[in-house]
Amino acid sequence: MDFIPQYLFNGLVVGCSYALIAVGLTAIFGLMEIANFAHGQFYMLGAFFAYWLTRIAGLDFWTGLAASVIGVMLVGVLLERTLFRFLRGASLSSSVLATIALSIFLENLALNIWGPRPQKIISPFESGGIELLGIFTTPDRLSMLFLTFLMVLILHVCLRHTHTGKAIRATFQQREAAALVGINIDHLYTLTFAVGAGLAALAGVLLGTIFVVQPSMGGVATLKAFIVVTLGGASSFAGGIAGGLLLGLAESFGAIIAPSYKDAVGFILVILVLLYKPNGLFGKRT
Amino acid sequence: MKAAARLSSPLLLGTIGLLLILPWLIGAEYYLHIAITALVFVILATSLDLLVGYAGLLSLGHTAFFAFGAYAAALLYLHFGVPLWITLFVSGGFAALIAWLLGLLVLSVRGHRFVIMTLVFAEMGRLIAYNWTDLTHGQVGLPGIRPPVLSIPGLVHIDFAYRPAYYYLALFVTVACVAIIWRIADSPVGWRMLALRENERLAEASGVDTQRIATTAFVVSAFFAGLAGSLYAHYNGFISPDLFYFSYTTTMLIMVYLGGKGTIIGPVIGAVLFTILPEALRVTANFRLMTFSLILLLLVVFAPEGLVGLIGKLRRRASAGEKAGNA
Amino acid sequence: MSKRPRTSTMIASLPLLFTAWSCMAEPIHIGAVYPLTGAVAEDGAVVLKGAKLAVKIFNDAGGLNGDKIDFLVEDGACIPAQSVASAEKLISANKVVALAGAFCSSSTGATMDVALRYKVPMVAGISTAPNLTERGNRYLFRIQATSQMLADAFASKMMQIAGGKKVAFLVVNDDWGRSIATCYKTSLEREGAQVVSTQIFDTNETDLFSYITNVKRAEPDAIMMAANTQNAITVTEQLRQMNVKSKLFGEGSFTAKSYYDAVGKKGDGIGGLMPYISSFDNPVNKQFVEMYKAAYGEIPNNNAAAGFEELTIITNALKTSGKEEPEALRDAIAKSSTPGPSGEIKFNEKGQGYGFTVFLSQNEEAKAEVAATAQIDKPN
Repeated sequence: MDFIPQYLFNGLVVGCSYALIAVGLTAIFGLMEIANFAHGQFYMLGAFFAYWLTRIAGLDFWTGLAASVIGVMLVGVLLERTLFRFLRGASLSSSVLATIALSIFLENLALNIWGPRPQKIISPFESGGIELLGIFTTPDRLSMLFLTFLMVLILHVCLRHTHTGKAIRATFQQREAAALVGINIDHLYTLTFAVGAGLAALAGVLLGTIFVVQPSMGGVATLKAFIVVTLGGASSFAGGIAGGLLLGLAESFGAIIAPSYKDAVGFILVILVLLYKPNGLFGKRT
Repeated sequence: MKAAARLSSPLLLGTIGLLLILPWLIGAEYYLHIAITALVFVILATSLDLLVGYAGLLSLGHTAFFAFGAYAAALLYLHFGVPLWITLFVSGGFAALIAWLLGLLVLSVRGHRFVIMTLVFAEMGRLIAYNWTDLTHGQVGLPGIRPPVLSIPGLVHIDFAYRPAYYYLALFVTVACVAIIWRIADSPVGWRMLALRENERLAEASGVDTQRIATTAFVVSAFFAGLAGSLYAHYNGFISPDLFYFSYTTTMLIMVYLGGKGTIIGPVIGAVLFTILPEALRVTANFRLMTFSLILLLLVVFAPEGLVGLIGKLRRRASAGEKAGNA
Repeated sequence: MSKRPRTSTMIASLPLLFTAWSCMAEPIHIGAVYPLTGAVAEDGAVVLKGAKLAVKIFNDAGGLNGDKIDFLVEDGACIPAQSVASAEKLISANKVVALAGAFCSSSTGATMDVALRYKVPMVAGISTAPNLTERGNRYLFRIQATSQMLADAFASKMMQIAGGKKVAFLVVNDDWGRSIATCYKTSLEREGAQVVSTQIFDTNETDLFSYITNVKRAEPDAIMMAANTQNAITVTEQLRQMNVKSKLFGEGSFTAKSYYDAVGKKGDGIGGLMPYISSFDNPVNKQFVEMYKAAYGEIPNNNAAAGFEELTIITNALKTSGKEEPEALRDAIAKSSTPGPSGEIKFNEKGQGYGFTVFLSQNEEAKAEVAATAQIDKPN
């Protein structure tokens, strides 16, 4: 009984990482209607950029973090302008397969550049546990929670109160109408794609300090992101965040009962949601 | 419109002749090993094409049916001594049953939700194979699955552990499967699948029971994948949860797209090419996946009709050129 | 005027070339299936280093009657299907007379059938799955002490160090990790232990907090771990972060250089159950460590030693049998007593290795110190 807060906290931390990764996918998917199976690779690239910048190039952590996120955003812009522009009108099969191919390509590119050995990003905080009200955690995990919260806040404010944010929300709801009103859809897409990639990269860097960085982490992240998007519904950012936290918590508590089948918790949730609430738990009603 | 490429009779006869004398042409048993592996993948690729190319349902879980079939065959043989002749059909049936049950769940959605569900299904299969160690022995796998011995006293005694014998067996099974799949594709059932692929709503309005057609495509393709699993298990002698890995699905998808989706023949070519290529390119292991994924990307973007489509285009251009030249 | 040699000259020189060719040494083809790509590529590369050293020693000493080993390595990637194809190629196309590999137990399990079919001896230095030697395959020889053998050897000492009866397992989800949980459970329970928790985590799992929380709740006196490379690092760090006070033991990479580089003194106090320790005071080992350092600039670990042992057994069999055929080599290996870095290696009728020493180490100041040793007796 007294361990419940620990499981809760564990689940929240993991959930935050899922939320950060999935929010970007929600944006790309909901806005551009492209099933981007390479999304998790932004997470992986963010982590590897940060590893390379901090461990090899010797930058300090925060500069490395900022540079990595910006770097991945640039990669995102490049990809959006080339491949994803082409995929905009394409069939689902085409975009799924093309992005799967892209995902495998990026993973093996990373493998060839950095090798298969898992690496760690040196955290700016001293390592070691902290005990808070009977819960064990680390400064890295706490900063993950804090930064996620901060990002969500910033996102919320931008979407509600800036011109661009309103444009994004408008395009989300009604693409053709938004174009008619003079919103530059192309620029919006590029921006959204870049932001989504950047958020995933941020998650990668933060998780790279807590856990490890390895080329195979992208594929896992993609699957989790799609599960979250399915759970939360692809129509709202709030859905993506809530979905991420939900998945994290469900997995954490699922681990009490059947640790080996932890991943299955997410799968079962997906099946249930798809059966009973196809638009996601927080999605629009059809 | 018949999407399958037409092979001229001499070419077809020539290919069949070559296949029949293959064991005498190639030297080491290693090459026969590649040939048999290619045949298994031919069944997998063509059955996937029926689902993806004809019915237009992108399933990322095809390898799970293959793996379920393989495990069914392995467990039946190891616990009850059931030979290949029976496990071929039981594996197929088992996979088909799972597909039918899964279809009840999954075929009510389309688009990306369907894709994700099939992916989740394959992952769950992997988890079960990995963790239900009492049944599947987990990662250690199940060894000792023997090929059959055909023994009619006085008439014939063939031990299919003799590799060339298994080659002919696999060749026979594969040709039969491809022929059946072709028949299905080139029949009213196949045309209804095409209608489903092209425009589901329109098909519904035209009176096609799209739900039933989708189920048929799903179940039939799973049947053949399961059958291929049995063929593989008895040949390889050993199976493990890695058969559920996404990498196998990717391979099958590349084969379908490389050869040309929706053509049945295309995936045959794709399967053969893509079994030989990785073996031939052993040296470049690290770059292999990068090269293949790049090929797939380029194919999807620039040549979704695959090799068969390209050959068709070249032929048309050649005959058009002839006509132009004669004019 | 033609620049090509005249036809008659060419024909005349043929007998000369033929004679010269048949007098030249015939290379002995030896094959190995190792994971050169994939998740354990690093470990595979190290195994290969050890193996190559053994080949070099043999070849530099003149080989067998002047015939030197042509060592052919194929990538099995620890994928059973690929390992099988690699073995097929090596045996059937390259005609190797002996095989080493395939590192991961599931790959070895698949590859040994190939060895049996072609009747080529196969020496496995690392795979620990117990059933490999229970399948009646007379062509497979497994050097490594199984987890059951290690557990039996050190169970009582472990209980002594633990200072209590409650034991928990924190193992990686593969045949190796799972068999450690079962094997050590048997041996430790015989010494009076009580297993209070068994946590099995996926190898790709990076967040072990839930599993560790589960373990903590059970309040064990000792925790037995099974983890390689990154899992070992992750497990150690997170156990320390969660302030776990139980005595820690582990099979796997808890004494590897990369482990010490990553965790430093956080690994102190962990007891390692090792088939090999580079500081073992044994003449063969001393020479091995020297040569390895000279060749590669680092100290060998158990993977390197395993690769070295695999090929040493093969080269030794070549010398004792004097023949280069698979069947003769198989018989020679079965009867052999090969000096290895951990002691003499012999094989029982099932192909299980014995006779060597195994170690219980203790991490101190980011180094492995020998806390206890045991010699493996002939198993039944």
